[in-house]
Amino acid sequence: MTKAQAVPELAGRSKAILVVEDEALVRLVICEALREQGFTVVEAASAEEAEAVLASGLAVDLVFTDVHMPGTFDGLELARRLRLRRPDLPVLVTSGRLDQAGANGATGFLRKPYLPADALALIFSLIRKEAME
Amino acid sequence: MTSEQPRPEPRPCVLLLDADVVVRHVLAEYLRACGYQVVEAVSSDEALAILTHGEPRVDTLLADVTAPGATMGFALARHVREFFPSVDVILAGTPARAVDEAADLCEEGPTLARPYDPQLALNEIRRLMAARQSARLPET
Repeated sequence: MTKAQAVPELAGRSKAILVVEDEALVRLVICEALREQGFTVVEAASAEEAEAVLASGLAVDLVFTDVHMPGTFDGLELARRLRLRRPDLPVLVTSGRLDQAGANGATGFLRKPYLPADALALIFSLIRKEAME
Repeated sequence: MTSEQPRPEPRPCVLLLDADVVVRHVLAEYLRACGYQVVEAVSSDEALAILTHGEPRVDTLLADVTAPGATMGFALARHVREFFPSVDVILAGTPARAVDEAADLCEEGPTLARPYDPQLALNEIRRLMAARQSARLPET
């Protein structure tokens, strides 16, 4: 089978991270850092978009979400809904206004502003932990 | 004897503007598969913020003509051509048209080859859109 004939494996070729961030430039930086590490990255600019991704059936291994975003619900509500529907799906929450306690219910918390390296380290550790459970 | 060295030039960059996350994701993966760097925007405001930021340097804007924002559609195209003249602007009105345009970009470079039949990308978009339509997560 030639490259041109290969069927795309859009949802399964590597671990997939759903990044939910309304600041385009922040999203750009962290998504590029994740892609450089070999992750498939799905970008969403709001919690509603994140739900649309999950409803479409795209396979996602971890959700990395900001909290305060435009829309009808925020990243904490997204984490709460996912905890109910997909308790196996790690959700890493980031915020500059909350602390770890405020992000109760998320699998992990990362305070903003963060370095991409710190986010990568946390994401790697959550995915490893998930794989071992 | 010489050894192959990686190209020093950065990969050509496509700024992909589409408000539908499913369409945007599949198109972005298609363009990445043929070697482009792809930056995603969900509105014209985001697209203009990325262009103004200047990093990464965008070569081509592939935009859904209906994408929301303060500067929409053809007005966005005019604005980009005026203020960012080095950026090629491609407008698409439907996912099918956007896939065709992405396939043409892959014919032009950087690998001079389509990564796979663009019809597969369009089929994937349709499959994901249908699944999303029929399996919306219930409100809690």
